[in-house]
Amino acid sequence: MSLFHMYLPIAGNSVNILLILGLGLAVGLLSGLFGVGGGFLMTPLLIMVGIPPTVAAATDSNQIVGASTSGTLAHFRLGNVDVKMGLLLLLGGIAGGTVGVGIIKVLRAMGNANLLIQICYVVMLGVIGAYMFAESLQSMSKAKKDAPPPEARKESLYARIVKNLPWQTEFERSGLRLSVLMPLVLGAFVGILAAIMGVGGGFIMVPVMVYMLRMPMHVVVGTSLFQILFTCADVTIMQSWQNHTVDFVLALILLIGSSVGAQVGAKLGRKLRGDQLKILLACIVLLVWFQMLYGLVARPDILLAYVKGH
Amino acid sequence: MKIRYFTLLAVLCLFSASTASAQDKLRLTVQPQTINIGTFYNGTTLTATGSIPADSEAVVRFLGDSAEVHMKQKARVAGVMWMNLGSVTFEKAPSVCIVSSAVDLKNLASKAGAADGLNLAGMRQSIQIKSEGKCNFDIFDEFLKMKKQEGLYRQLSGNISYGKPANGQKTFRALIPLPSRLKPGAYTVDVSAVGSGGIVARGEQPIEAKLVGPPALMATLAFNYPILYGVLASLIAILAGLGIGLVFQSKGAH
Repeated sequence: MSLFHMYLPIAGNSVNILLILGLGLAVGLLSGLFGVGGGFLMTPLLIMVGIPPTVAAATDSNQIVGASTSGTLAHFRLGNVDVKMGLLLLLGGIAGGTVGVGIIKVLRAMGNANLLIQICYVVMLGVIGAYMFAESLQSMSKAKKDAPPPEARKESLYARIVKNLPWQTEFERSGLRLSVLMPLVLGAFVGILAAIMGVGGGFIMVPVMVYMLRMPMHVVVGTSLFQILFTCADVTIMQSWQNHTVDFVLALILLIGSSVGAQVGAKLGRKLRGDQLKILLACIVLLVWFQMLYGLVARPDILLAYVKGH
Repeated sequence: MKIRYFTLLAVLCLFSASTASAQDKLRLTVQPQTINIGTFYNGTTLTATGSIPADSEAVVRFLGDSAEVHMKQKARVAGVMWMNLGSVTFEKAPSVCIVSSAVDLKNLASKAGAADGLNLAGMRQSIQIKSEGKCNFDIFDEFLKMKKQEGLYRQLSGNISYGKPANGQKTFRALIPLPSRLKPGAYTVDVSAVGSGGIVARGEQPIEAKLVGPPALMATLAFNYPILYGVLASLIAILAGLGIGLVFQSKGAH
């Protein structure tokens, strides 16, 4: 018996409370700073400390609910949450998630699901990370020189298509006029990928908001957290009901750490410029991409794995 | 027909007589008999005491229930990537296996061939493996490696002490460290007295591990009222997030 250890009845293991608090704090900091849920970092870390993979993934969704609530509140006060855009993305995300679950069922029946999921991860992380890194590096160097006047810039084909879509509406908080179809379709696209890859989708949603919806970086972070809050609450309820894999005690310990981290992250984020935030996120995405690629190519220590749900 | 019945009866009598005499040769008591898994459970130690024939060595095993374990075997795809491919099923594999002895089990096994099955490597004889597709590695070795990494399979030596022999018997005391990763359920402590010719006596005692206090309450809610549990987990997370957010706001205001 130890005061710093706590037994988790759903995970079926005892964990060091201080270690879990520390993990929560570190991942919460990233969440508040970049608007990502942090699931793609937290789940592997929990598995490393002895939590079964299915419990780690489901419990992480539960803690993200709390962390993103805290982060959303912090960003809401700073005027960084575009509620209208967030709700439209959420609607699209729910529809896309349902389609994605159907796709994964077909892939599983074909027997190629795992390979495709992992390839999907490596390609997505690689493309997003490299693009964000290159783009933010370019904009940082441009910022040093004198920027050309806006009228001198040629309007791209993408911008012209977006402008001509029907049902244009004003998104005051983001300072944009866009068709409602844009967040709905892009939300659905992220929902499909998130369901196939088994993640909340924050690290795909943020680049989509920045590059496809052209939202300002600070509004992106707050709106992404707002949207993640609802997605993860839905996942928590579904996982508790269908698989009994949510360990609430573990989630609460993680939450205490991550909520504090998210607040610190949000305040720290205000001190950084948009391109600095982007390049930092790009570095983290590329780091995770490298770790995943290494995991695919390097010989594992143990050549067996438990059969687990997606 | 009568001769067959008599033969069967004689064999049964002989078997029960030998079992009774083996039981007389070995006495076993385990404390505690119930493991309470409460909030601060982080592994515990079981004490097994008793007596065995003076010229034998005790091998004490803490065993979990046997169940089917389903796994995937990893293989290289296209010569580049490692993926989970063929399915493997392990039958009769105990969920936990902690083997204790006073001396190194390797030396003991070589002295008495019949005791080979008592150590972890010896479980190769009892665990049945069903594998799909071809496999280029020893599946049992990998299974053992995985279970050892989880802390559920262990082989310990030196954690059994003996008293002075008297009347052809000697007392033993084994301290069995149990893992923190213990699930509630039925377990067994099994003791074998290994002599030069193999196992000379055997005994076992059932042990129960159960959840108590808050972990028991949490498990009941999660498994019996899963929707309520999920909704409560989400609501409490939202409230906690809001609470921490407000604390930060008030701190920022001053």
